[in-house]
Amino acid sequence: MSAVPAGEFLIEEPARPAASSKLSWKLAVGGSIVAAFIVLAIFAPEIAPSRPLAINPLDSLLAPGAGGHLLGTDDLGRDELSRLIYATRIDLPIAAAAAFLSAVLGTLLGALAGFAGRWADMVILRIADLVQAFPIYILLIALVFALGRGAQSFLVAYIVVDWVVYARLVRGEILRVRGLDYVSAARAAGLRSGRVLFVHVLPNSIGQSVIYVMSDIVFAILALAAFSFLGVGISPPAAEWGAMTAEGQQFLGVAWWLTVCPGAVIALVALGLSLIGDGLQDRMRR
Amino acid sequence: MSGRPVLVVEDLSVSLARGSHPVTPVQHVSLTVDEGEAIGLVGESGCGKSLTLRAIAGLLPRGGTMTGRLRLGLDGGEPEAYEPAKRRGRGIAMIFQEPMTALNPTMRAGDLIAEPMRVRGIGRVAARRRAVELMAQVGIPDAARRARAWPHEFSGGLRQRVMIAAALATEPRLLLCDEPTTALDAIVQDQILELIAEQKRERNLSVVFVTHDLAVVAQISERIAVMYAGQIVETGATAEILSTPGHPYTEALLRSAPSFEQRAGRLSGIPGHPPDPHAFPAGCRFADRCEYAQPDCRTRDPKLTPLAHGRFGEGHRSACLHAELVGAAETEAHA
Repeated sequence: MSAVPAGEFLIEEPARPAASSKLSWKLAVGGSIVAAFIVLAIFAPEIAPSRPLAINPLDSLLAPGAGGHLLGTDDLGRDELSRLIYATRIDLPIAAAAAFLSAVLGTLLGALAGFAGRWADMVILRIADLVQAFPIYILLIALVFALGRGAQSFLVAYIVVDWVVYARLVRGEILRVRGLDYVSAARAAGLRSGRVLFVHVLPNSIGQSVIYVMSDIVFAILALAAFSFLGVGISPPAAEWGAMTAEGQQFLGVAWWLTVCPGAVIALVALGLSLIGDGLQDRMRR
Repeated sequence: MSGRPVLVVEDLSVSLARGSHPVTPVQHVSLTVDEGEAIGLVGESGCGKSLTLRAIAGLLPRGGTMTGRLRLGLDGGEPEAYEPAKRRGRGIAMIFQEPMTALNPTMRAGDLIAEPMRVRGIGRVAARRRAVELMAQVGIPDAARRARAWPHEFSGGLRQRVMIAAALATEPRLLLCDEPTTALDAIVQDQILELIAEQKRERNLSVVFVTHDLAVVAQISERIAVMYAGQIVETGATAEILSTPGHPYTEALLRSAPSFEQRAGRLSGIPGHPPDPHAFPAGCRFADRCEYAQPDCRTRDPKLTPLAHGRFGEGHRSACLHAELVGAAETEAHA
């Protein structure tokens, strides 16, 4: 701040300091948890002690720690820890893709509704009303049953139901931002409306959606788990946290770890993502 | 001053569709701005002054429509009719009131200023360099470094300077100012006014300056147009309007502004409220609040006409049926 002329800085209130680059503890902890799971997913073959599908009937239902199996084995003698690690490769990408693609579709449609004018607005809002008229899980289940088992149909069903949330969030924000002076200024400078939308309106309208993506990934993991639990999600024998919880349930009396461990893993991922969302929210409010 | 018109507004009316009841908050406004001239458009909030400005800039809100003729004479030519929405960014630039919301918070100051140049096909490096030059020209210290700063890192006055730099980036001939100093404290306001005046002189800009503050207008504009209830009620040279108002509303406005001469007395407000644009009264719209009101004021529509009375100078026009009464008592007392 050298060479300050004419006392300008003495008179005006001091400029706000640049947002501190220090991470909040929420972002740090949440980010570490999620990063750890991403590492697990990428390096699953290197990290997992054994192969997730290796059946070994002699080692059936070993307790945690027994026979070198840190988290025990399931009824087919498969190593629980390895299965949990490999499941990260299925749950995380599918859930993240479901939330992210919903966010992209919802943001585009919400932007169209808020920016393009009355006709588009009405059509998009009516479709959104239609989707939201059904209870979310009922609609999801109906769609997955109609589309058939598997990751793809889960993705499609999830996006069909979920874009509505983002569309409403973004549309509301756009209606607010559209009237601000910097949007008028951009139009006054002769920018095309596409550029005004994508450079000046949208970046200032998606903050809430970015935060919601975090909660949405959690919701997608739970939904995928629920579908696998119901038998319409990921096909066995692939390891998936929800399916593992479901399979373990029948041995709850003799092998509690088969249910508790995948449940705890889901809770841990959810915690990490929620902390990130919370930390982002704090950061935006400042 | 060449006296060559840059902007000619003829019979401009602006309507807004508000549900089933369209309103017309701006009615039959005519205005001429010469090259290198600043004209102050003064009035209370809701009188239609900002809407007039937005109509000229092609920035009417949704549901807004305008009638009348707008003509623009840039580069020494005769004023020609123009389509405001298609004219944006070419010859006309606008600056806004709120320093908090007038800069896109997701763009660095330098990029914000460079953007209008970039979309005109100027290369990235050249636009950046020009943006830093402009920032220095509008008095932002350490411009090269500050071009990389975000809007929230600037104070209110500096933000206003960034906005002015962005407006100048389009090389305008006509600068429209929508209360750009209202949200600033008095000293910063003064600095920003000085900056606009300086840029106007250097670039020979024509300026339309909208404000509710007569003191601001006195500082920056050669001529004043006073608006009331959607119409221009008085126009003339700034000095003359401030000293010898020819319309009761202008006189009341002047009396309600603080000044050093009459610091002992109480400030007088204007009794009553401006009329609702849904139901403008017949006759003179100011009649209900006017101390000079005569019976015919409520039946005859006053027109903006040159003032014949000897006290008033040339080019001074007022829309008052009884302009000779305005300020007459004071003049006699002095005599």
